[in-house]
Amino acid sequence: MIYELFLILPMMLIVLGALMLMLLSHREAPLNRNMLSVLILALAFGLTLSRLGEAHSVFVFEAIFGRSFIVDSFSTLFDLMILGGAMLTLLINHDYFKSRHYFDGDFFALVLFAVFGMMALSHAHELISAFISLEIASLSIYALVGYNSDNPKSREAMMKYVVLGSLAGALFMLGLALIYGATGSTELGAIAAHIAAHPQDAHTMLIIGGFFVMVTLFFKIGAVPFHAWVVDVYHGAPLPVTMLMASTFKIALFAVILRIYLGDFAALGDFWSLPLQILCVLTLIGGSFLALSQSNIKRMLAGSSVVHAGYMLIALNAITLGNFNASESILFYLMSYFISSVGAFGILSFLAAHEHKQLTFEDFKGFGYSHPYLAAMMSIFMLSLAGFPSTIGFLGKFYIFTGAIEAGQIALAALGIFVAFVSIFYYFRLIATMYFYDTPKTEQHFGFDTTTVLILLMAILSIWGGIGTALLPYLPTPDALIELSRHAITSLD
Amino acid sequence: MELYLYLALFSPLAGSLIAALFGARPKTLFTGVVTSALLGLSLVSSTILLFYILGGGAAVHVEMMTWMATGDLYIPFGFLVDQVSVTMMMVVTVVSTVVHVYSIGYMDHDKSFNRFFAWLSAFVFSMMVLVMSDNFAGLFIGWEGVGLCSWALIGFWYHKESAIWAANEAFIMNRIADLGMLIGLFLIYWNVGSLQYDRFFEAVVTLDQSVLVMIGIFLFIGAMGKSAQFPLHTWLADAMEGPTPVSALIHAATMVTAGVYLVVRANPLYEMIPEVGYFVASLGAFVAMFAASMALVNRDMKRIIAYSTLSQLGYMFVAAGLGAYWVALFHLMAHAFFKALLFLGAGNVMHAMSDELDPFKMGGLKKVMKGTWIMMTLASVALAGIWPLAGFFSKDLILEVAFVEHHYVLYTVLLLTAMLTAFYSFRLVALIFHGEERYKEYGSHPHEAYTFMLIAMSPLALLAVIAGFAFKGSYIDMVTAVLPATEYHVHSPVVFWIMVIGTQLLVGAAIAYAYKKYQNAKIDKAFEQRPCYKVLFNQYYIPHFYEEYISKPYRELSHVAWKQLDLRVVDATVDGIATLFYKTGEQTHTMQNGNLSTMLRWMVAGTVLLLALGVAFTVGISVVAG
Amino acid sequence: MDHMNVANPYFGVFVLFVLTFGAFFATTVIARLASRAMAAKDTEKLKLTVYECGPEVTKQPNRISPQFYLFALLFLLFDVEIVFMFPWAIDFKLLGWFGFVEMMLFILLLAVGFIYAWKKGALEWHNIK
Repeated sequence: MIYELFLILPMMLIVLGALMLMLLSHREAPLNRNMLSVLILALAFGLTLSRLGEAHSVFVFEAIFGRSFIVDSFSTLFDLMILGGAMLTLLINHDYFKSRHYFDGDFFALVLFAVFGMMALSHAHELISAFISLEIASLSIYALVGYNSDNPKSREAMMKYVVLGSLAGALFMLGLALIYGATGSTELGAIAAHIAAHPQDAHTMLIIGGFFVMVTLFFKIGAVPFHAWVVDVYHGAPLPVTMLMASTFKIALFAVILRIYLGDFAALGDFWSLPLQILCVLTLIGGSFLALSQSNIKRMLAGSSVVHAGYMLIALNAITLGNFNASESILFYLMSYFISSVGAFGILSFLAAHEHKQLTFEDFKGFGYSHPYLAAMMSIFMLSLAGFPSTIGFLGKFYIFTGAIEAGQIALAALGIFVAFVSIFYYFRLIATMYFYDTPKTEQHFGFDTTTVLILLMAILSIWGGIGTALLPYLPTPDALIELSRHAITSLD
Repeated sequence: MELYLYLALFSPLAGSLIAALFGARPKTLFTGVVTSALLGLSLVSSTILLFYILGGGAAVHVEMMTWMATGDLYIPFGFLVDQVSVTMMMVVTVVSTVVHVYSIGYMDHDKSFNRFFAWLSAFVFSMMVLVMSDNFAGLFIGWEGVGLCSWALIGFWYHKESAIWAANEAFIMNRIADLGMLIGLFLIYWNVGSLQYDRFFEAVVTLDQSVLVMIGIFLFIGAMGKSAQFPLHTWLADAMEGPTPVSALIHAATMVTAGVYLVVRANPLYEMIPEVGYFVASLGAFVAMFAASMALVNRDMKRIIAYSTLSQLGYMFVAAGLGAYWVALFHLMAHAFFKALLFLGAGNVMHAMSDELDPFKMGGLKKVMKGTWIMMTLASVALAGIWPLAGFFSKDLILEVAFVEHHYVLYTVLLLTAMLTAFYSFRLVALIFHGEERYKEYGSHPHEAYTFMLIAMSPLALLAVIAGFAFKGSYIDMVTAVLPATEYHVHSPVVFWIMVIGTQLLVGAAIAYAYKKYQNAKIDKAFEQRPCYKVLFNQYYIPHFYEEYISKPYRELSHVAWKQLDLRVVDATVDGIATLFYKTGEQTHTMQNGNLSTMLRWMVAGTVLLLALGVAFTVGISVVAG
Repeated sequence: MDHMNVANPYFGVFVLFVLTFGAFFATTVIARLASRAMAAKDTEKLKLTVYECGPEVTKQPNRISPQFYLFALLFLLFDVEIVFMFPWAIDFKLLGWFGFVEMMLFILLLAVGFIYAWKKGALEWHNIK
């Protein structure tokens, strides 16, 4: 009982923190809400960290909740990634929060609710719980997207996201109903047992239901053809929210995708494979189109995030074909993408906070001369996102493509590599813009504060992740991350 | 002992990093002091290691960490301090400590003072990695590291066009040679499966003779580049564009001798292939003569010393090629001391004469620069090989080796070269320090260098004097523990004394002739018109030949490749892919018009597509299964 | 095709479902295409104004305050939660202390939301912060 309480303590902390911030929101008190929420997240992070590395798999309060919530090594790793991600997102936007008046108490309460939803998602061992968690996170994010109600773009983005998100949510429910109809349970273990107990060809309805669930999850990660919202919503949302959606929310979504499709539907892998391959191809190519034609950096990053989702789908497909090693590559890729994209968005947020620009490619002309340090770091992030060797992004892609090749998906891997080459066009375009144009502006002062220090940290991590094995023998290396991921994945079986 | 090993190795790195922190700042004296102090620490540690080895201690071998371990490939970062590497460590740390202290004065007025020390210490670190590594991979890392630092230091005054050109020339020539070295390393790995020295040397006896010859040749190509042997020698003279302390440290005492070190280190290999060794020796003798002849007429003080370095490197290769590895190493050590001293003296003269390099515009400087005069004369006497200075012991030994091994042609060439060496050394000394004070015509006001610079040079002067007779005995005892301990004695004492005294007399005559001819030399116009002068002065037209027949055709080929291949094929393909995407994007951007209804339609379309696929596929599987 | 699959009672539903989707998609596309083709493209100014069943378009004098929607929303929210309490009340004895604590927690959460709405001024007329 006490042990189980301890297990869910981090989640409780987040919820209580959110409630507290909510009740405090009307106060005018001089309260640094950002740091307060970071503190709460950090506490939860610390508590979760103490469990890292020990193998465990417990259904919490089984007598009350049944088998709907599980705490295992897998969820622990994802909790850490989600909490860490949210924490870094809040910290790196420190300057941005200060420069905009509309970030009041409710904002941080909503962020914490979203984080709670995401954590619950990684713990869900039952489809209804998964749905509720997903909706908790999504509803908070809908509100966050439209948070700057003075900005028509922001309102429009929220509207679009809510309407489309509702449709997606409805499809999830539909799929859930079908699955329940087929198996008589929504609990993942029971579903797996049902699949095992019946012949392969008796699962038509289950598979149809599974497809509906898949549609919802793929909608949320922005896979083509469910991507239509991505660019507009990412662009309209305030920068911190964009970061949260692009990185942390995606981590949580992959947690549930992996749990459902890796753990319990694994036996039906053959059925998912073909649709997944088609989605992969669509996502990789469609995302590239999206990213190529943008003139705003934020929109370009949004478009490219679709491509990155496509890379992860390659690995997911390798998993459905039975190469379970590929799941580690997804985790590693999530981390690598997180580091590089948070860094890149962090620079945008820093600039938006200090210079109030539109952040188009035009605005970056001569950036290399006016902000030499930031430009250097931006280049690192772009290189990492493009998957340039000696950055963490390269290793991420490398693991994914090897996984795909091991699973026999040579064509997909080749397409992925091709798309990675195409991505050089839009990432390097920014680097070229920064360095190949003169600027009338003089060199700006580079000061150390929370935001810049974190950007620097992300830049160092991008490089360390790429070459760390060779240089720093005593620090944990990418191999250690992979090892950790492998350990986490084993708790799913 | 491991502690001293790490101290000796890493304190230059620490110094370099500290200085690099302030690299972009204006001069701060303490960077120079800190790097010098840390090098002093490295010197002390090396000395402790030397006495440990001298006292009969076993070689210190540490494996710091694994560098690469994938599949069968296992390359650790390991370091080895044995009799050979400790000799090199001493040479490197002594010379570099002196040069560091000296540079504090020499670079006094330079605005990139801090950057200079960052690179200089980085060079020392790379050199230490090179000599201390216990495998070829580590050696190669150091090899490339010294190349890089040498590039940065030759081009230190990057605002000078000629300095950049010289830096690039040195780097590119070395890259060509490094290719050979890399092939050699691959061959070793291919055949032995390891790059560790000990594993390779154990395996040498089992390998096929032809493989060994290949490895030997390719490794020697690498050594030729670093040690500037013909035909890759042109970069060394041009490298004199760098600051003089750099020339003293890198292009006289340490880096250029890395090639000799490589051959000495790989002695079990060259033992097995005497024919390659003979080729090495012949090339060395040729270079000795060839470089000395170019030094005879040159009118650039530093280039004369550079050619002299080249010539002495030739001597070392003769010894190494003939299997007298310890002799080669001994000459390397002695040469490092007196040649660095010569360069530093030249640096003083340059300072005094406001960077004037033509000795014909000097003369009579001994009155104002007494200390420098004494030291440069000492260094020249040592270089000429007069008893009892260092050069006599090491260089005469090489002559004896050639004689004892019955290579009389080599012996004659080396003997002649020794005379030439004496001649051009004292031509330089006579022109600079004696005779009329020609500099007055050019309006210079020479002054002696800072006293502490002279004091810094004095250990080198001391070593140049005593290194021969004081160290020879204990040195031989030490080094022959790992190197083949062949004694080279001329059997008949009469022949021996004739040889020694004859050589001394010849050399003395050359010195006297040089003094007589150049004491009051005016520039001899008629002499300059002679073809033999022109050939020598233009370095046998070899740089011209390279420019005309290698650089130019290559440039034209590159131009064609750029116009025809790069622009039309590579760029066009790359641009084509981008244009394809852009064009398609433009055609299809209506699909992404931001309209909510369109978005909804997309979602429905996607769902239907997935469902249709799902049903078709499920049913398909059912049919197959059923 | 296997007999079992066709015989599955939900299979018909599924077919209908796919048809519905197809029909929806087709209808919207056809409707759009048809209206585009057939519509008279009259860009007269009056034509483009809002259609108001005959009366002249004016600014609405008695606009409904958004406050009503907020109230409706809050009412709906708290009213629906009552639904959960009825079954609890009926089985109160059966559920015992466990049920009691759980319901208290539930009400506590509701109360937090209520306090939040209250403090935000959502319950006061014309006083939206």
